Amino acid sequence: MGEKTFVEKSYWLHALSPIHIGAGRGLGYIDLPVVREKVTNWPYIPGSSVKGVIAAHHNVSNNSEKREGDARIAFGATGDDCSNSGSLVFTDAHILCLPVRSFYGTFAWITSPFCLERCARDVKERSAPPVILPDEFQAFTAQDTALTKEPGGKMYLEELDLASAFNENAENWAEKIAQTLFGDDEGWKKTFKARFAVVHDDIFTFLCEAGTEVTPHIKVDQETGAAADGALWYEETLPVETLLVGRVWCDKIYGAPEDETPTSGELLKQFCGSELSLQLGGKATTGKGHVRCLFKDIEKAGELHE
Amino acid sequence: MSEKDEVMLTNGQKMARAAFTAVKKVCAGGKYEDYKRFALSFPCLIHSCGLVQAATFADAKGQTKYLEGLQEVLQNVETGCSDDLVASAREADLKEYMRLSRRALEAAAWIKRCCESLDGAENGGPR
Repeated sequence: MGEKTFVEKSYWLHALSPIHIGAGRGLGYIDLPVVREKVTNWPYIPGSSVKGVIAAHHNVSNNSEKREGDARIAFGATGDDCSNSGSLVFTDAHILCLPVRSFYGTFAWITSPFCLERCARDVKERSAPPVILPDEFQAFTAQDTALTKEPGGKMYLEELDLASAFNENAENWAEKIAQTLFGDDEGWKKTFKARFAVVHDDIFTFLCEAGTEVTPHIKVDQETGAAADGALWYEETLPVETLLVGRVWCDKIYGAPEDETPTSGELLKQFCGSELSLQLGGKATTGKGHVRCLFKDIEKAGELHE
Repeated sequence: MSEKDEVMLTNGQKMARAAFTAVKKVCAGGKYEDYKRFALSFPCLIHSCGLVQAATFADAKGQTKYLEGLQEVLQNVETGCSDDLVASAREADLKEYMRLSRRALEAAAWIKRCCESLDGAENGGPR
């Protein structure tokens, strides 16, 4: 075990296609549901899923006994007499914005006060004050919202009609998230801010339960060309455009030779530096799970971005 | 059973008991295949379309037995569901509607599960 410098980053996931990270066989009405947090029932992405695909992205061998060098130090290895833990620690990615169908603006990136508070805590964001909604029938937007016909008008999300109002803190959050995810791309930043809305936590929970995609699948009987008897099942996915945020840190270096120990910062920079294009979860051959993964320093107070 | 003797049950147990009774009743009375086919797909219909749309659709398709069963299951837990589920879904305010939707999904899932369980038992599998 080597140095003990604590270096930390946030990682941001932007779904470019629906994501299915399954919770195994479902006992409810969905046969293959996505994983959800026990406490909130909100969908999330396990840190182990992220860590695995980032290891694969860097061509780290699936056979951990064959891992060598920094890959072995970063992601760990198993073996009868030469195992070591991975030095990079990935937390689960919490949901930040859920895309929801909207009559105006096509869809909305909705979030909730608790979502934002948790994000602020995770990425140590200190400059954005909390967004406090007066009641559950209202939504806060940024200035130039595309989600209403006119400023302060009604917002039509899925089957919910909510009153809307401009809110400065919501505007600040929209700006910060847009900057983090889209950097200098002014077009996408504008697109995001126009569709950003903060709704009540209870509404958000309801939409997290009812707003995921559930698609029926069948198996075709080769003899009849029709659906095989009893072969109907339902799969749940996180919709395209979902945004999630998690953390990755390194506080201990495991398994490094004494004379070649990389620093925590070097490991993070090597494996969690530039933007990655990843495939997360199941159904890869049907195009599911394509995400952008961005890493940001979070140690600078008051800034979400590098 | 007197009030004193009544055992405390979880909401899941109450729903399971009511769903099993409702499904068995239909199974004994005929037209079970049609009922089962509808029961297997109805929960996802609520998820995709919303409760009031799904319930009205069931009503329009003449799935009276199914809606009655669903109401019975819902009335076993505190939901604010009246004797007319379609009307309850139509008239509930937003908070009540969200709660009723969640409970209706649970209840519909129990009915689906009981149908599958009954199939398994008929085919020699475990109930």
